[in-house]
Amino acid sequence: MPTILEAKMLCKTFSTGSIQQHVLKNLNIQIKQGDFTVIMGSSGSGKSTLLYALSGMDRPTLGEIIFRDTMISQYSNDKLAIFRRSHCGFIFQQIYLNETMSILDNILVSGLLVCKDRKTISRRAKELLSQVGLDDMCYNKFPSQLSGGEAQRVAIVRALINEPEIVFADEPTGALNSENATNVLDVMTKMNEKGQSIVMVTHDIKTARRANRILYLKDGVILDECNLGPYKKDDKNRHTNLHEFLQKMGW
Amino acid sequence: MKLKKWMIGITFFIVGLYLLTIGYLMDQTVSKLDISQMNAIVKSVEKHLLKGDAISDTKNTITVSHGIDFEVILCDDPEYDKKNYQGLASRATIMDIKNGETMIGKVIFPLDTMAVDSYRNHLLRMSTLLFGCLLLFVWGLGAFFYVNFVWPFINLKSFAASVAAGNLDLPLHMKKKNYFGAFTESFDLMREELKAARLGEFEANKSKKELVASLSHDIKTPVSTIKAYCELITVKSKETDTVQKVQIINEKADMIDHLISDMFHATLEDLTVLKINGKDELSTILNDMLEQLNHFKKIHIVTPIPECLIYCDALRLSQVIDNIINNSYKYAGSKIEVTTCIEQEYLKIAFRDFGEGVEECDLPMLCEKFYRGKNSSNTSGSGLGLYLAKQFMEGMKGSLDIYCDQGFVVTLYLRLG
Repeated sequence: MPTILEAKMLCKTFSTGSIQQHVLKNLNIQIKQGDFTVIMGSSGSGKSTLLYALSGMDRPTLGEIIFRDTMISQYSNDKLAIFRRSHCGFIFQQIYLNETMSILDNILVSGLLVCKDRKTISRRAKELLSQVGLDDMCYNKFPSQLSGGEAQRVAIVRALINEPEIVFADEPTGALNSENATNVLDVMTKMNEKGQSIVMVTHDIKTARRANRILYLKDGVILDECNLGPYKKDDKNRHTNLHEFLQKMGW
Repeated sequence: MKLKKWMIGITFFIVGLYLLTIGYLMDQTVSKLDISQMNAIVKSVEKHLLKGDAISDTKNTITVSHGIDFEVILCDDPEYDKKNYQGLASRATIMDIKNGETMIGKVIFPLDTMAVDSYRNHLLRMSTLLFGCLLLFVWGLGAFFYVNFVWPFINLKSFAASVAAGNLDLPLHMKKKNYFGAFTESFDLMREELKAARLGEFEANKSKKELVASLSHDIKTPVSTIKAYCELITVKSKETDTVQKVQIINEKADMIDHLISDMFHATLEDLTVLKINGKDELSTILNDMLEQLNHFKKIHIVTPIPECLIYCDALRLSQVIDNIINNSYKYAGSKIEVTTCIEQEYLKIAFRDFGEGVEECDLPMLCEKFYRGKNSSNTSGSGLGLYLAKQFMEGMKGSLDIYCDQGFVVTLYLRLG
């Protein structure tokens, strides 16, 4: 599989006055197309910072980020916004649905930013909603009428509406109970099986088990990585492998 | 040692006394009879008896002449057997009186020489034992005295000597039970206090020297900048008055430079390390450092500096680069090419000038303290620049390489953060 996203000598430094804090240090990462990559690490290790830098939501202090063959770290703010909109999907812990719009409208707003054909977008939205297990009953519901898990699945549909090449997820199951979390993760696994590249940050071991590649971040450096292979349900080996890896990393 | 002399004296005294006693005892053995004397007596008794003298007369005359008491008994004496047995019972010495081949009587010497001998021997043994015990007791007393009273002082003496010699780590071991335990303990306390004071003084001195060393080197950097601008003004200004004054400034800056160098030398002699506070820095600081030194527009950055985090002490790194660039200005005066690239765990920075370089034999020594190349006799300098640069680089977990290749090349390896 070709490399879809690459970071070279990525550094992120936060400065307050004369005090500099280096959160990411000389990171070199390659993300292959179709991979489900999970970034793990203790709190404060720079997981989210890395995700935001990779996705173009934040600018790295030093280093290059190459998406396919273009260096996005040199893009202007406007160009970067357009890039994000058409190539990336985002899922967060907080769901960020617009409370004053129906579910369908919430999705269409994102879609119409890229594609002007309302019909196509609407058709794709409905298709995706049925894929994540939401039927036409909820098209006109408002976010407050949904459960956390349903709302997060709507957010996933919104992230996928523009057929992004890569989806970034920051603790997507962090605010959900375990049943809803499993539903959401099943949706993500299904997406990945269809070839969707995903980069996800988590510190939940159950969530991490879905990935086929785990990067362990510590003090802004990738300590090691672990390749788990494609996900199969109830795979004991996968679980022990992951456990051993995390234990070795001192998780 | 006084005690030893005393002991030897006492020993000699006791041994003398012992010998005196023995001598006296030996002298008391006057009553000892020997066989020859007894034989002589027997023979003279025989002679007298054969002459027909009476027994009593014979006995008297011989007793007088020999001074020994004895008894003569003849075989025909009715008490012969009885006396003979008595003599044997009392362990007297009995000898025969013979007339030709026949025995006519006996001479009985009532002295028991064996008994006297054994008695004397007994006395000798006793006195030997007594004097031996006395000697042992005296030596024991001496040893006790030595261990308990003299030894602590000897110990104290060597302790004081070692303290005086500056060895403050050796503790004074003394048991509390010892008579001087408490006394010596206070000595040990004194040592510890002295050690703490010495250490404090050393630390204070060291930090003072470090401060002077780092300050003096830090002062040199701005002074060299002042000098550079002076030269620039001298070249560019057209007013002779300004040029003259600027030259004065330049000379004064030179003077400051020299003074600082002297001060630096004095302190560096004692210091092997200057403090380095390494931390992660953005590689972009290199651009600023090079720009600040680019007074003569001679520095050409050939490849853009790769963006990364490097482990360094920004101040020390700027001093390292300052030293390298100023060396090049001083000895080569050509343009300087700076190339950078990432090699595994290191950021490699190469500074290349196009001067004459240095002689091959100078290369291994150039980074030594106070070493200056053979072609340096016409230029001022302390021979410390590259030495310090190397020290600093090693302190930052990096390294510094030098070689000649169409000019002089200095390569810095900086660890990535």
